[in-house]
Amino acid sequence: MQDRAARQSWFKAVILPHEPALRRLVRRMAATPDVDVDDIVAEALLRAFTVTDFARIDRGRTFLFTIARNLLTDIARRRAVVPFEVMASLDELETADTHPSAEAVVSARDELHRLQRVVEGLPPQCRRVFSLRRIEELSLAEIAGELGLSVSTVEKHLAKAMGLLTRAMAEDSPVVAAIKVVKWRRTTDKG
Amino acid sequence: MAQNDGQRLNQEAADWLARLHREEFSSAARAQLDRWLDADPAREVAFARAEYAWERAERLRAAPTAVQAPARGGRSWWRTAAVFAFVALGGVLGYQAWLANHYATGVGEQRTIALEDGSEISLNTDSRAEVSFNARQRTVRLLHGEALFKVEHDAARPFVVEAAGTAVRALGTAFNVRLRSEVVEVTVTEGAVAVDHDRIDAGSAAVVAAGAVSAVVLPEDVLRRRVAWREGAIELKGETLEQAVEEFNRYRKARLIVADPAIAAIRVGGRFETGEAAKFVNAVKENFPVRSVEQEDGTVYLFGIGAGAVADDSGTSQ
Repeated sequence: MQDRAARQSWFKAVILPHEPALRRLVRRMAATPDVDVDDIVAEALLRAFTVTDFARIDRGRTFLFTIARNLLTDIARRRAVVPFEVMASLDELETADTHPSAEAVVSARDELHRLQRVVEGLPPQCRRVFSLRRIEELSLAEIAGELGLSVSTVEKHLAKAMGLLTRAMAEDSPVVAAIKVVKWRRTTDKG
Repeated sequence: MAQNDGQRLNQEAADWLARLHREEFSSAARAQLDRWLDADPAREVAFARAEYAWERAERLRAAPTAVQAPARGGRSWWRTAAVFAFVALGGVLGYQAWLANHYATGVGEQRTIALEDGSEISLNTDSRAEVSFNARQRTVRLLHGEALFKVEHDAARPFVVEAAGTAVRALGTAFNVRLRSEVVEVTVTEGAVAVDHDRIDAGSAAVVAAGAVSAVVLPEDVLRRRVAWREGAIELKGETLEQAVEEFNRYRKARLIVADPAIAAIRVGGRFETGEAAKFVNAVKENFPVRSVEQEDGTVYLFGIGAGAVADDSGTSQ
């Protein structure tokens, strides 16, 4: 089981930080209705997770984006008719791993804002449970006592908060995504 | 997998994570989770995503208001005030400290990280660590490789390094932890540490294998050699060629390979820079009957002289 723990630690440290960026790019490229962005991202993550020799991979962005590029190339090929813009975008996925500190600061700030927005949007009781657990670090039994709920209800609220947080973490900032979709449409209009 | 399936899996993973929080110390719950995870790697991915989101959410502890629990009397007020103080005083530096709690070095890279409490982690080549501080404890998980820790005193919060299931608790100021494939090697240079329940003082080292801790007092030169990497050096004194080559390989992608068992046990010595394997190889060739063959990709094979002809077109023999 130690290998599972090591693989999960590696996955969280090296791969998952790049999920939002991947989702943003796939969303921009796969603007056609028959392609499911979530499916592609999920498949790319799965392939990354199950790689045999994970310990050797430390440039997660390059690795993940390469997997996604191959996936999208396969899909494009199967369709036989490949839009020129899609091929150009596929090349974009071949970005070398840099250490863009400015980018890291911006995306870290985005991440914090996303986290805050999700929590602010939680139903009140759910939010109380989340805060007491994540910030005050009370046990679920203590939270139940504090709020006058059963432990199993507290657990349900916590699970709901965690589910919403997970979804939020995987997303990029919605505003940026919207702008990119508009750009894509303009290109196809011209053509 | 349709979008609904993805969302369902997402919530299932969250349900499991919440359950683990309820049954914090239950190995039975953990075992059931493992069985659930065993059935499908997609579940492992989903669970990793849930854990990741939860871990990242810890950043909210330093973020202002809206997220804090409603005032519950003394405790929450103090915590909120302390958080504001941290954010106000921390400024950019404080913010930077929250940006990444995962640190990694590539092959041949070394990095020193200043932590928010004033402690320092120096990561050696090809290493990975995860830092997670909270109000009760300062935890660093060494996931791979080697790190030197310089620990600031904080009576309220013990500094604990976890490596392969072993907990090394700082009682004093400076120590090195190296994760080898089968063992964890702890070398104390200043102060003392507690490894499980054993106290290891400066000038000593502990080797932890399969839960058993063996401590030994080190001669000063051995001690110095253990942390020579911090100065960018590899110091050898009587290691076999095989062992020496293994050390140099930690810092290079193209490997040195002792291809001839006859020379593997040669004892070598000297001080070299971690990136200067070539100088090391030359020193070996000058002092011993050894020759080398270098491949195009940078791999270097070492043979004994007189070990027989090498039928090899692709390399150059020196």
